[in-house]
Amino acid sequence: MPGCYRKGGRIKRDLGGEGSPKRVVRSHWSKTRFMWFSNFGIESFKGSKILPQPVLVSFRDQTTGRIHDLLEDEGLACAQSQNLLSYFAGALLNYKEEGVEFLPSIILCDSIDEFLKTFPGSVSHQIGSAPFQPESGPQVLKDCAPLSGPNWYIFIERPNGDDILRYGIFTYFRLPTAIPLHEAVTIDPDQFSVLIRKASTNTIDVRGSKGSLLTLIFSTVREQVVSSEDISHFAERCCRGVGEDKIHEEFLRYFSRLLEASLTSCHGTILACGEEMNIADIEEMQDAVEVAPKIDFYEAFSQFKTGATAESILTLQRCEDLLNGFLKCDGIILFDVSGCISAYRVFFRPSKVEGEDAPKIVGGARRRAFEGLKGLLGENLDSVLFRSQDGQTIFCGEAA
Amino acid sequence: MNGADIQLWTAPTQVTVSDRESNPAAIASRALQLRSREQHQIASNFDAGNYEMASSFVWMRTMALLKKQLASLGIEFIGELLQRPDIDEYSDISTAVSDAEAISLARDLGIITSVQTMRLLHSQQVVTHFAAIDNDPSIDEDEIMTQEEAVGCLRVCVQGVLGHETVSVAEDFKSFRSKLETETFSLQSPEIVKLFSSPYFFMRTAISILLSLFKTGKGAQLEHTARNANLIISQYWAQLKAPERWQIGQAYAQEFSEGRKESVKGLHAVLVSVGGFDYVPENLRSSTFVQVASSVIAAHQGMNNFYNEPAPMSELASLGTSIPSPALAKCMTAVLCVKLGNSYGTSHAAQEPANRVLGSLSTERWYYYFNERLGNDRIILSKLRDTRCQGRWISIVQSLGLEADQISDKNIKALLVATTQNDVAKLSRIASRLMETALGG
Repeated sequence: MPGCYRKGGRIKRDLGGEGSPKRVVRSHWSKTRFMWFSNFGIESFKGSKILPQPVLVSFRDQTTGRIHDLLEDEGLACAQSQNLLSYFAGALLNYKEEGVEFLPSIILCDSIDEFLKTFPGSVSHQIGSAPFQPESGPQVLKDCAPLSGPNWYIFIERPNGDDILRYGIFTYFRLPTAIPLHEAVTIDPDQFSVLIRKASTNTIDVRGSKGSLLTLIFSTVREQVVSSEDISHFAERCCRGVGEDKIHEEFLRYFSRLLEASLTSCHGTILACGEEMNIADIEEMQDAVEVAPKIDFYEAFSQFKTGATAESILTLQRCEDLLNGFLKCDGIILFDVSGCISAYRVFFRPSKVEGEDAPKIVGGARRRAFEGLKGLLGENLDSVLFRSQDGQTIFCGEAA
Repeated sequence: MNGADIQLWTAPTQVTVSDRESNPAAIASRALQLRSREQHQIASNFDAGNYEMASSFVWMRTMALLKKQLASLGIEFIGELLQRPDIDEYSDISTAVSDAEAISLARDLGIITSVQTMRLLHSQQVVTHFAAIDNDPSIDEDEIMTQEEAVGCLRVCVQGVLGHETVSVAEDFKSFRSKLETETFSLQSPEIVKLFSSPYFFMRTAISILLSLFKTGKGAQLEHTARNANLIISQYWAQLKAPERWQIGQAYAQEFSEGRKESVKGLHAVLVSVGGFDYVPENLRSSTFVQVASSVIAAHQGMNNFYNEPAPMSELASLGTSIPSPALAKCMTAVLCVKLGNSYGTSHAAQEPANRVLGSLSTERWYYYFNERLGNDRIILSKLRDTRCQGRWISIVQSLGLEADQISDKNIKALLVATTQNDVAKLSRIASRLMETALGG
């Protein structure tokens, strides 16, 4: 395959864990536009008989360059892989079929059979094959994206001796507590694989099996890097009332992953946590829908851990479904410190009109509500997690 | 030098009561773990000829103390040793672990010797039989526990458990277990050299320790465990029997499903180094089979076994005929327990579901049992020394038409030949030899 070669041997430096290479690329979509020369320019060009040419500023070069670096860190230098991933980076941002948005996770690997050895109970179906070039990307998405979802993922197998890539879908045995794909991809660092997925509304994650991580943020206003630590901190606050036994640790791990996965597909939200919170007593939260009985994740999780019956798994999945439903609604979702949801569609209304000297808040209604909720911390609330539409995540409260 | 000469850990060898001692009062007086009042009651019951009462009490106290000691090692660890995923930190060891399992574990952990193990297993059969006997006029009133049987039971209980100030696992075992999570061994480490020279069950136990540490360890502990597992398992993989290989694969699948990524990474490295991904099950369905099979075995070895076997045996048969490979060994032991029964007979009501399970087993699965399991199946090997069980065994095996050429181990092959030739005496001798090996004697 011309232009493609695998680097021999392993990269010496430690690429795993916290020390793994992590890049953030900020794109400025507003700058991606045609820029025409001014009349003055045209006039001057007229004199030299050079016609005005449109200038295209594209994010492609930046993306492709960073993906190239990532692939190099992963031990692969392949122009076609690089271009294909670049295509997906743009395509996944808002991929729709018949008006329905899909959020496929795509694995690029050398051999799907070898890759899936890591995943117990895995099943794969080859859907088709295509020339190994970026132009095949749309075909892969067209064929596979509608089949993908929370439990099915897309694979692309790099050519093996010919110039044809094979693609299809795969899944693995996934209990609610199983390791998610984006974490499992780093279990076998010796097996080349790269995962590309949409991590939030404006963010694409690319991560390799050796631990390299590239975060592509398609935003002009972002100030903060998306961090899963914020979600972990919030999960810790929501779980601090459920004891200190071993199941608490397992529940915390499960709850963090659940929140992360649910927030990935939501359009932005605010989650708040409070201990012994009575909404009726909080003046700023009078517009709310209380959930009675509470959605008790810990109870459902405990039943699953002790029984592991089909019924207990379904009970837990029912709770997860409802959380995802709440996330689709406007307003704040309230948790208590025992892993329960106590209210949703909670709307924050400031109890007093702010004076002119109050700090100016930049952002929409959600951001304003978040800033207002900060004032309730310590008194009524324990912690708050803000997630903007473009994926910005901010935790506010005492980190456990 | 054979495996029996070098052992990584050994049971205490001090003699609390001589094998020659047959005076119940003298033996009972050495039972340091019993109160003086209890010692006198035992002696009085012996004097009054109440052998069943005395033996039942001694047995109950012995098992309670033994299980208490085992529980101190961590219930999850015990579950791993027994390959029982249904046993977790919330399980009550007194009910979750059968007496026979406790005895077998005590041997594995160096609490009792191989001879004491054999005697305790025999005593268990005697005590449970007489404890559950019916008040049926048709039963011969003279069918009672003999003094010799009662004294034998008392003596071995005192020798193995009651006669020690504290029941404790071998110091070497404790040290080895601790080092597995605090040090990284090399091939030249004395512990590793000894382990590779020890009988098979030491390796089995070492693997169980490692897998247990994978499930509970964190940080540096986990790193030591992962490196030691890589060293030990990759060196010994070729000699490992299929049940132990499945145990490792099952642990990987379980850790993956539990979401413990760091443990999964360690186990993944082990499986990659030995090419062992064929032993990773596709799902955790085998846990249900193992759980039900264990309850069949527990019912078989407990009181009133003839009445308690049918329910779990029917449940096992109802789980379906395609037994998952990780659970196959345990399920076959359970079914054979029901089919072979004990020296007092079999549970009639449990035969039909047991026949259904046996009928679903292919010849290949029987070869799997003979090649991979029988040599370490202490429960079945102990039955093959009993005349009535032998008859049932021969009847079952002869109907299978197995060929000895397909068996790799020479002793197992000889046992199969003796079975097909109806040579009961030889079968008994070979079973005894295999049992001694399985106990590391």
